[in-house]
Amino acid sequence: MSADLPTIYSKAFERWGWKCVPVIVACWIVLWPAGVVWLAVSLVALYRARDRSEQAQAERRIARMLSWYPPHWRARYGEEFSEVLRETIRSGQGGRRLTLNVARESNAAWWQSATGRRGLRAVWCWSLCWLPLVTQGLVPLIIKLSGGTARSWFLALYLPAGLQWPVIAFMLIAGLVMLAVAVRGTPALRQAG
Amino acid sequence: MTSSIDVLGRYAGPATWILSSLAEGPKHGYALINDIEQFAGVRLQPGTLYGALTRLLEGGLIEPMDSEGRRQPYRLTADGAAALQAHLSVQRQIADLGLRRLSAGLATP
Repeated sequence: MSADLPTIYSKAFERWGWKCVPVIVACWIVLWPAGVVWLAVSLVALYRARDRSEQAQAERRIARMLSWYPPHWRARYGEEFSEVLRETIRSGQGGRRLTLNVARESNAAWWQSATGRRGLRAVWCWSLCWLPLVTQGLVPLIIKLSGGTARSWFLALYLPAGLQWPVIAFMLIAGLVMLAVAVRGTPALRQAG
Repeated sequence: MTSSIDVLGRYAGPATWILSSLAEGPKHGYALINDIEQFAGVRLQPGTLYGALTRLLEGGLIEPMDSEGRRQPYRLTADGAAALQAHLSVQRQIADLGLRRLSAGLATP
């Protein structure tokens, strides 16, 4: 279900435009505790069901590294690249350096085309937009409005009183812009395939 | 003096090693890694290898052959051979000049 969320958001954006953004944000706020429980239960079930043999672990790692590349790249080079990864791991050269190298080069593969760049921006924005929008924007906003004193890890609340509202506003705007970029870039993400 | 290999930016080094390896005959990915390690003393990481391979394919400097199971051999094209020849000639001129200047500099007190 969670894998389809970007599709749902993208379709909502196509149909209702910018009006759907506050609704999406409201859904996040209301549904996040249920989401966290669902995620925890799913992860535990997944961990219990997995094959722990060395070969299975290597295959999972290869599949994971391959998934970092754009879909069209995987379709063209996936099989042969997996084989090279398999032989590299088998020869004892599959350390952390391999992971870092594949992470860097998969990023470069996305960056090679304009569609890929838009798609990559969407991935980054989907992954990070909640940080400025919710944890550094909405939550400190609620704490300020309710007169709370907890500062926790909310940046704005550590600043002088005169700077707190501008920083909260900046975080909210930055988060909304990132969310918009993510929603608009999602069709490009699929097109990159 | 920019060759079609130089335009590959940070992949120019790996591309030169790949083309030099393929100059001997067709090879698949892992065989390329081993061969390059033998003659250049550098172990190419798979991501870098495929980053360079995709660019060489796009530039028409190498081409795929019939696959052998899950392995995909590549061979040098005529354009690739010409690009490698031009690139290595320039590199040799630079190496010769550098060595000449170095020995002249060392000879002068």
